Amino acid sequence: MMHINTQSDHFELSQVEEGSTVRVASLAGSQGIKRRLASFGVRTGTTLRLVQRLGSRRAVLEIGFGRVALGAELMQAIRVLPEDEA
Amino acid sequence: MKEAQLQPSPTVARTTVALIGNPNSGKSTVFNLLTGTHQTVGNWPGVTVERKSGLFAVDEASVEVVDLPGVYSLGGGGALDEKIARDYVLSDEADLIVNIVDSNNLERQFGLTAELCELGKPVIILLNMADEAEKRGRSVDTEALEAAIGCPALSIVATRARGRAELVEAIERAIEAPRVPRRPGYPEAVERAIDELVRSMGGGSDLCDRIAAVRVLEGTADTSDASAAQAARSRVERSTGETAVDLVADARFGFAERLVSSALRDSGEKRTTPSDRLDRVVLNRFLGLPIFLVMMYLLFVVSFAGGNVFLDFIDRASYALFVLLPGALLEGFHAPAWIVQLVSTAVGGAIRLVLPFMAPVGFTFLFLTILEESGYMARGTFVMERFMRRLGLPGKTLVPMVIGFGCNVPAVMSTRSIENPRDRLLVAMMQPFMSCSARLVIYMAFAAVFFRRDGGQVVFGLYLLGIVTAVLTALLLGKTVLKGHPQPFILDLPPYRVPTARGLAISVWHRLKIYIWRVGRVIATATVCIYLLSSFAVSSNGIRVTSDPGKSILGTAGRAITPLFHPMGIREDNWPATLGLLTGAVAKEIVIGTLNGAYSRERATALPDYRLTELGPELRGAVATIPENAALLVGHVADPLGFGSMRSDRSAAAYSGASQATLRELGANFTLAGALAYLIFVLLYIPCVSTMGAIRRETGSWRWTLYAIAWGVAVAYGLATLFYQTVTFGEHPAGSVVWISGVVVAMALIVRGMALYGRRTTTGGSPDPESIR
Repeated sequence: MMHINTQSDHFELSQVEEGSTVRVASLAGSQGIKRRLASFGVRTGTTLRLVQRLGSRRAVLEIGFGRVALGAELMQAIRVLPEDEA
Repeated sequence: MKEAQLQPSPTVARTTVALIGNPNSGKSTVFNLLTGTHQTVGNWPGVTVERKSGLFAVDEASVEVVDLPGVYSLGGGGALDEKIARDYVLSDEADLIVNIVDSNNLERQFGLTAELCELGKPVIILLNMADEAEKRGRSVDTEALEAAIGCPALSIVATRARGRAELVEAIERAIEAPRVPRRPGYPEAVERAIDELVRSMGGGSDLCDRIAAVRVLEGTADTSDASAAQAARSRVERSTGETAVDLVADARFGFAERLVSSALRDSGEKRTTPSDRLDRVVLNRFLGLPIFLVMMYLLFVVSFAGGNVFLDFIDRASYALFVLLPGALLEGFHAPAWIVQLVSTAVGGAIRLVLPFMAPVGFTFLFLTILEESGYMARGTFVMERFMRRLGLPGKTLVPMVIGFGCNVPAVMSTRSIENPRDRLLVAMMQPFMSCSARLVIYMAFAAVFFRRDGGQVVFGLYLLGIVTAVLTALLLGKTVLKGHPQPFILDLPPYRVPTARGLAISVWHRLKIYIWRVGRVIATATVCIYLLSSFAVSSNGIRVTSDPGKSILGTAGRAITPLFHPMGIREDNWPATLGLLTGAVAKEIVIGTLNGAYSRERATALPDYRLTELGPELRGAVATIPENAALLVGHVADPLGFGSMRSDRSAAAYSGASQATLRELGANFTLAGALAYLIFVLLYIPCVSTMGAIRRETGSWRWTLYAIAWGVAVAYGLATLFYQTVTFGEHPAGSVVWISGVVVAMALIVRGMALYGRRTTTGGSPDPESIR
């Protein structure tokens, strides 16, 4: 169901297919970036669904019932695991 | 008496209730619900951001409600408006906190709730949008939530005014018997570190000291003793193996999760809502952009076609009320002619000139409010984000620019939703170039005289020139003085909602009220000044009254600076045009008014005979124009700016507010090339006084305000001269070569200067702290 291009067990959110539910494994970036993501509900351990892609590098995420639009840089900063393996 | 002061009786004391919640949780709707329209909009003293406060009565006591900008977290980061909300909550001014929570998204919204619970203040949890959540199969057990958190909780649907009585009652009870919620508990190592920090910061057992210590520990606030903070953090990390920041965040997150699990009754099924289906279309990779462009086109159609319906009505009604009525009354009392002329012809005439634009401006505000409240604006921002980024601009650049078409002042203000200071400044500097509705008045008058057939293209071209100049300005700044990367993009997409008529009316009226007040005050003052300055002349014998405005103080000043504008085609005898530019710096709306006034003073027409008996027919005639113009509405959809009707002198003149004679004067005083150069200059040259004020407030810097003015004048002068000299090259090749090369060299020097300045300053060149790389 998912494309896993890397050998490691977690991968970038930008590689996740539309409609998949994943769990956040780790966040790359500064404390400020992490705090910002956390305030939008994205934390290590959060389950989220990639609802819709806009082009290849941007997407809409569903977290709980809320929706968040994410640009290309942050898509690369979020590393995830498939929900069932987490 | 003294005792009464020490212990104010409950009927006299005013309780302050702060409304706080995540963005889009519906705070303003709750605010409007509580206060109705009895509210004031004001600015924070000394600071940049707007807050709203209003009053409502509980028993005999009046309660002050403060509506704060949405905030995700009391921690650091976030936009300027978030900082204001945070500072207010931490400043201890509020007696009671009403935490508004979107019932659809408890998991995330309780994060802020957990932070608010630490403040030790009475809190009411208000679960808004309960109806939407129910539709999705989730409900909140408020009793269970109350038991878990230890403070009152209730469900409401603010948009339908459901739950107001219960909310007022809850506030009343909370004032009488405050209930402070439970605090999230931290691991022991963290609690010890907090105690140590409180001591090292010289605090006691006060709750405020504790909050300050927690904030220092998690790095969202500074302390004078940085080494103590570092030591406390290290100790926590040594004894637990985790950072203090993570432990504090985990404790709050755990607290929020416990609240969710105690209160949320979720049917577990995921239903696709209409909102989800709409996003499939609106955010579609192929349809997203065309839909956005259609929305922008509709913005113009609704604003101008809708405005047209009421334009003639307001025009004739304001003629009746501000020109005819005072004129007839003054003449009835045999007032001197100059008073009649000043009050009725000058001031009344100027008000009448500008007031009709309330219609298109009001419709622009209406459409923008619909875009914002329906949830589309967030989607449009996301759709355009990639395009903006490709241009090297921040992803959120779009919304202010769109608002700027209505008025630059709210456009500059709306930049405060951009988190990164560099991005915010960049976008604020773009706004004066967005062609606002006030500038359209000037285009209309000139289009009526010079470009009757291609008015639409000319005006469209001017709008485009404004956008291009704005984008180039931002790019230039971003590559020189304000080097850095735009902040990574993340944005909430609120569910789509159908805006309520009540909510729209309140919101539009709010914006319109400010517009009318601003315009009214500025126009009246400026007109009186122009009138007086054009009536007196200075000579060796002192000041005397003159009937020749060309010899008046105003005329002399106008003549003195007119040669400066010679390179862009303003002839020396056309000093009223220069004068228009001077007054236009106050408000662009009055450029045509000034031309009108100056040209008509030159003509020195006789005072009209105002009759009170004409008042009734004039007002009835005004009302009759509404259905007449509404019938023409269909035609406007294809031609929103109404250029089709411009073929006739009358309607074009009516639209621009200029009198027939003034249009003829325009035709006599400008050449075609000169008129276009004048319009280019007017579009770009200077932010109006209110926009300057907004830039000063939002950037907090006089230097940037001065930059906006100087850069605007330089670009306007350069481009207008370049245009005029190129078009009229054949008439004076030698002069044109000098001017064109002069402008090119001057521009190159300015750009070079900015690049050097950018290289010299360290602040502009420092890497963005929020950057992920």
